[in-house]
Amino acid sequence: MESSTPHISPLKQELSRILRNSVISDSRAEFRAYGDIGLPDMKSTALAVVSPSDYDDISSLLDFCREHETPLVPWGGGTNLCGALSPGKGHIILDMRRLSGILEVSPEKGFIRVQGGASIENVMDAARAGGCIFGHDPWSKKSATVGGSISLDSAGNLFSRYGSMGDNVLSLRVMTGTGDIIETGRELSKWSTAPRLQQLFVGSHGVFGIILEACLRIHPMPPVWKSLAFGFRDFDTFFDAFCALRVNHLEPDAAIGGTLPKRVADLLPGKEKLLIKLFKVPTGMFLCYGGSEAVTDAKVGQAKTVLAGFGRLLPQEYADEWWENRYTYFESEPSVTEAHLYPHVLDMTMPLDKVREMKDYAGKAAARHGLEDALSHTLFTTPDAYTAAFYLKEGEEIGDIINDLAARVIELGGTIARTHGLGSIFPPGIARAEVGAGPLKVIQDLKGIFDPHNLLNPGIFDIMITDAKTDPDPTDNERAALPRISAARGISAVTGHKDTGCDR
Amino acid sequence: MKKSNCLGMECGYCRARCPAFTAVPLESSTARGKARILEAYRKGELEAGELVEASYICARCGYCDEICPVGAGSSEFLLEMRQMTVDEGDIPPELTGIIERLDVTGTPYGERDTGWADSSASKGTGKPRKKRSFFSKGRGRTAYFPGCTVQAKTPDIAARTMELLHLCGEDPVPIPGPCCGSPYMNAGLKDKWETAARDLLEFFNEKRIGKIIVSCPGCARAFGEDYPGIPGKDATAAMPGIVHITTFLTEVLRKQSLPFRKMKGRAIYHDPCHLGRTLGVIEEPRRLIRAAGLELVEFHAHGRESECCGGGGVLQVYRKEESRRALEKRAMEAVDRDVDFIISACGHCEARFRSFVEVNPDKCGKMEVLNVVDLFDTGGGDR
Repeated sequence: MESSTPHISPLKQELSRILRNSVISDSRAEFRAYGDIGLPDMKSTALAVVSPSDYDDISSLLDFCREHETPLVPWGGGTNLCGALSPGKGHIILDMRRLSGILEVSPEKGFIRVQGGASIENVMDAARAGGCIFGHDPWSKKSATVGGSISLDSAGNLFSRYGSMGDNVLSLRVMTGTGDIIETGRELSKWSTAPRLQQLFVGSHGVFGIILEACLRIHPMPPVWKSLAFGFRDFDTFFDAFCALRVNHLEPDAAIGGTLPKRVADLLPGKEKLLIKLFKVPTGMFLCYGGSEAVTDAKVGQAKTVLAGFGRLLPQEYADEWWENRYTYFESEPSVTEAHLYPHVLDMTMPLDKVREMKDYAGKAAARHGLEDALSHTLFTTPDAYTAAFYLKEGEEIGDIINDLAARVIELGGTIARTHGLGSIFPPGIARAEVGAGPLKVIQDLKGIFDPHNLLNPGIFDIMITDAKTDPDPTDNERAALPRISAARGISAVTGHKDTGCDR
Repeated sequence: MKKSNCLGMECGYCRARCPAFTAVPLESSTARGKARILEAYRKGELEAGELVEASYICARCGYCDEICPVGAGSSEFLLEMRQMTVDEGDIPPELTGIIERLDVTGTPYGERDTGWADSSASKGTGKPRKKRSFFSKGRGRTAYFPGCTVQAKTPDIAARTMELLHLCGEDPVPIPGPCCGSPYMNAGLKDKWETAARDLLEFFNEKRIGKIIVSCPGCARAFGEDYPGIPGKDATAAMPGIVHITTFLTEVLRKQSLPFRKMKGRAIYHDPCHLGRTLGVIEEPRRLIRAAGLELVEFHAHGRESECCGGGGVLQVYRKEESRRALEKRAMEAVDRDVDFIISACGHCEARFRSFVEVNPDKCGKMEVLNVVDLFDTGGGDR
C-alpha cells in the first residue's frame, strides 16, 4: 500500500527553511521518545525537535524562537531523574548530541576541550587515550552529555577526589538567549584577575545559555585503584564508620553504601551469585582509593583498621565486583527489571549532624505511605550525601512523600537536589527556600541579561524562582508542603541570618 | 506486545554507538526512544501509523541488546513493530523495490545467479584434494553459500572462496541464487520470510546438505539464530550446521598452513555486527589477519561493541543518504588511524566501505578495502 504524501506542518516547513544543517521532527511519536526517566505519564508539550550540526543553526533557531515567543529546551542525555525536561508548555526541543566533537586534548596542560553534546564517556575515553583521567564518573556516562552535566553540576563516583562536574570546568563557550556567544574562563588551574563567569552557568539548568563547548580539567591517571568492601549491622553504624574515615583523613576516592529496598531484595533470586550475596549484607559499604601503589596500599590498610572498629571486612571479590560494575547494580538482574520498578531518587546533601535524622524521617514517611519496603538509604561519595530512593510499582504515587521529604530537608538545612537539579517532581518554592530571596533576585536579574525574552528552559526557570507562598496553582500534595517550605524561608540558607524577604 | 524492560531504567546507554542515531540523530532512533513510543502506543496514545519511522530507522545491529544493563534493546520488540506496521498497511514505499525484486527473483538485487559458480576458480585448480574433509564427521554434504550480497556485489569473492575451500581439501556444493530471506524479515513481512526460509531449507534437504560454509554473517545469523524459530517441525529438524568462512579457515590454520599472500602494512578490522556481536566470531578473523603478516590495529569500538556501518536492517534502503552518516563515521575513524587496509568479513560491510572510498578518494588517501579472502593467494589472480 502506498503511503500518502506526509503532511508537513507549517512549523516544520518554516524550520526547514531557516535551518540548513538540522534534522527536524514534528511527530507526536518523536515527542514521546523525548521523555523523562521514570515519568511515564508525563505528557509532552513539545512542538518540534531540532537536532543541529552547527552553531549557526542554533543561532537561527534562537532568532526564530524569539520572533515567535517559543521556548527552547536544550536536551543532552535525558538522565536528570527529576522531570527537568518537562517544561509544561509548548516548546522546541534542541537535541545537542550531534555536537559531540572532542576538539583538543592536552595531557601536559591538563585539559580537554569538547563540544557540549559529547557524552561523558567520550570525554573519559579521550582523556584515557592521553594517559589521563576525567574526574566525573557517573553511572550515566554513556548517555549524559557535557552540557547537561554542567547545567546540573552533576557529581559522580569520584566526586570525593575530583569534585563535581562544575569543579572541573575551566572555561565555557556559551550561546546566550540573545544569540550572543560568550567565552568565559581560561585553561589555567587557578586565576583571580576577574570573576569566573563560567561558574554562572554551572548548575544553571540551561536557563542562561546553551553550552556549546567546554574546557575541562583532566588529571594524571592514578597507576592503581584498590577497592574494599565492608558490612555493617545497620545504616547508623555505617554512617559512623564513614565519618570515622573522614576524621582520620582517609576519605575514599569513591564510596557508596547503604541498604537495599526490601521489595528489590526479595526479587533477587538466590544467594549463589556474588552480586546477590553482596546485597544480602544488612548494610554494605564499598570504597576505593587510587594513586601510587605504596600510598594506595597504606590508605587501604589504614581504612581497614578504622572500619574494623565498626563492621567486618567482606571478601575482596565483593569489592572488585562492585568497582567493576559500579555503573549498574541490581538493575541488571532480570527479576528486578521485569518487575518494572520505577526509581524515584532523591539525592540530598545534609548537614553532617542531620543525616541520621533525615534518614529516620524518610523511613517514617515511607511507612506512613505504605512504601517502607520500597525505600533504600544510601550514602554516596561522602557521608553527607544521603539518598532516599523509592522503587515504585506502576500506579503507586510518590507525590506526597517528595513534598514531605523536601520540606523536611529544608527544615534541617539541607538540599533536596544534590546532583540532579530541579524538576517538575518537586513542589514549588524549593529554590527560594534553599537559596533565599536575595540570591534568587540576582538570578532573575542575570536571566534578564542573558535571556531577556525568557526563551531558554522557562519552565525550569519558573520552578526555580517560584515562591511557595505565591504559587497560584499548587496541587493538594504541594499545598501540604508549602507552609513548611515557606516557613523554612525564615532562615536564609546563604547567610544564616533571617531572610529580609526581598521579593522580585 | 509486552512492556519493554527499558521502562523505569531508561539509561540511554543504547544511544552510545547506535548507527540509527548517527544516521537520524533523533531520540526515536534509539532503543530507549522506541520503547517509550511503543509504550505510548500500548496505552492508546499513538496510532499504529505513527510508529513507522521509529520501526524502520534501525540497522538491527544488536548494539543496544549487547549494552543494555536491563536486558532490553530493540530486538525485544522491533520486528513486532515492523510486522505491525505492515499488518496495518503502512509498509514504507522506500522498501517496495527490494520487496518486488525478492518476490520475482528471490534476491534483493534482482539477479539470482551471477555466474560465479561456473567460473574456473569455483571449479577448482585441478590440484589433488585431501581425502578427509574438515567436515568428515557427520552426515550430509558440505555446501558453500556466499549469500546474495557477495554474489551480486563481489562475485569474485564467491569464486575465490570456492577456490580457497578446494585448496583446503573441501569439495563443497556451490549454492548460487537464493537469498536467505532475512530482508523479508527485516521489512516486517513475516509470512514471506517464513516461506522463503522453508523453501531454502527444503532445497538444502533435497541436496542432502549437512553443513554450510557461509560468507555472509547475515546469512549465518539467519540460518543459525532465526531459522530454528521457523514454525514447522520439519524445518527445525532439517537445519544444517553453519560455519562462517573465517571460522573454517582458522580451524584449518590450526592443522595446516594456508596460502597467504605476502602482505605488509597496517590493517584495521571491522567486526560485522552479526558475526562478532551475534555469533561471537571475533578472534578468528584477527588470527587470519595477523597470520597474513599485517599489523592489526583496532577501532575504538570493536569486538562485541563494534559500531555498525549502518547497512543492516533495511536502514540503508529506508534512509539511504542518512545511513551514509554511520558509514562515514566508521570509515573516517579507520582513515584517522592511518591504516593501509580496512578489512571486513562481510560482503555487505565491504561493499559499503568500498563505495565510500570510491566516492571520497581525497578523504581516504591510501586506504584500501579488503575482504578476509583477499588475504589469500588463491592462484586465480588478485582483485
